[in-house]
Amino acid sequence: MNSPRLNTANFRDPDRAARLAEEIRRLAGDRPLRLMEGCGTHTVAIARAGLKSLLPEGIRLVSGPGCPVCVTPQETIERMIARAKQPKTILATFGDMLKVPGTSSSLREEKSRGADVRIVYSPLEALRLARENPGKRVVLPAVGFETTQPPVAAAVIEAERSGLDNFYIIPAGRLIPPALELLCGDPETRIDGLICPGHVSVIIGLEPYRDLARRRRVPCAVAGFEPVDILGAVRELVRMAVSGESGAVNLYPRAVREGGNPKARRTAAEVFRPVDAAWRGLGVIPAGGAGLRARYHRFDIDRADPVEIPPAPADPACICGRVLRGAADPADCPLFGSGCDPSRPRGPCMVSAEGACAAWHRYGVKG
Amino acid sequence: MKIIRVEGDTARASLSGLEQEIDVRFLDDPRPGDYAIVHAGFAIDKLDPEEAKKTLDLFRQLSAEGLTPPSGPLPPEK
Ligand code: SF4
Repeated sequence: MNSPRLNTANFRDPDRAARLAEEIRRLAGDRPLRLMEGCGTHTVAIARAGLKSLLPEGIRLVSGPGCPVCVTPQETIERMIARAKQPKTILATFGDMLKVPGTSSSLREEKSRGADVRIVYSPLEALRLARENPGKRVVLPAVGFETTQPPVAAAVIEAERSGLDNFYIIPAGRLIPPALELLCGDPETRIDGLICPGHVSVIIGLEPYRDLARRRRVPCAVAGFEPVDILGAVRELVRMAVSGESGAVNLYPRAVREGGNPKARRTAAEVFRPVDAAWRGLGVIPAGGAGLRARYHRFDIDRADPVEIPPAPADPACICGRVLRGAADPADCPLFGSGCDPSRPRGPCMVSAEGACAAWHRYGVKG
Repeated sequence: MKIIRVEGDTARASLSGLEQEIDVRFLDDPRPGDYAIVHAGFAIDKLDPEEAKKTLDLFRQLSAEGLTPPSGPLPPEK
């Protein structure tokens, strides 16, 4: 029984891309439109493929709050660093958190000073570390969107079942639709259409966008990550915007089902519930974060062992917050490329591979 | 990633020759030969090659009249 082969090369086909770009030009005329990509992976794909140069002058692609590391507030960064410094503690983190600058150091610096900071790829690796190191506690900063919460929840459930008492998380998950909703009403952002995140949508499905489109009258298109996927989405958003339609379309049906992935959602919902949460650049968003349910509170390191974190203002020179709101481009930052680059990042948007500043820097996007 | 072998909740999967262990508890009926989208060590869903073809056909047929998305017609607005 052979399954059909998956061929993604056609989604990178320059001819198809050129034809879509041509259609976009025709549909848009000289209408200026601002389309937001709600996902860091889109930002990277757009920069890498140089898609902005294919689009007419008036069509602006602005990046949004779709990079989990970037939207993590400064206070949470300080909390992770403080945990890493504690004795008998292994801080198990996803790799792109390592270089995010705190007020006086970063996880990488603490690691070089002897803190036990380990990079994990899966939350289950953090769980394994906890099993292998019974004399220490393992703390996983659970940064991530709807895509990451089911894996983290699975690890928490396993820890509970196996009675593991040295595994903890810093609940730092965030929920995308409330953030998009907020930005749809932001006069500084001014969105005419949303390129909805591909992998978050694999989990949440189409309904949240239908809802958003209904209430905010904004066209939404779920898209994959190849140039043809993204141009196809831009084309449909431009068509809807020009004709005054709103609605949500799924242009990534090879990965995204209408109802998302209910199994993954059920696992996440067993452990997490929506709570008000602070986002870098966006402030506190009602129901914008994933907090632990009461029965799993004992896995919250800040409940098990509270620490005082001194107020941690974000670097005032860094405009990441405005970049995350689509109110500024990386190139609008005076430090971009001169004072801030991936080797010496001043803000998280230059650290994370999914950050807009990092993507622009890496692929030489001019704005 | 392409699934090679499934054992309970875990599977071996490969991408361009690199093999890795992934967790497949969020998939319905994972089988060898399935393509999976993997995030943080977990397969979050399968990729459907048939749908990939349909999307390309759809992009080809686009016209200024608009499109009917593969997931069904646009919901009525207003
Ligand atoms: S270029 Fe650097 S300092 Fe400027 S917004 Fe981006 S991350 Fe912040």
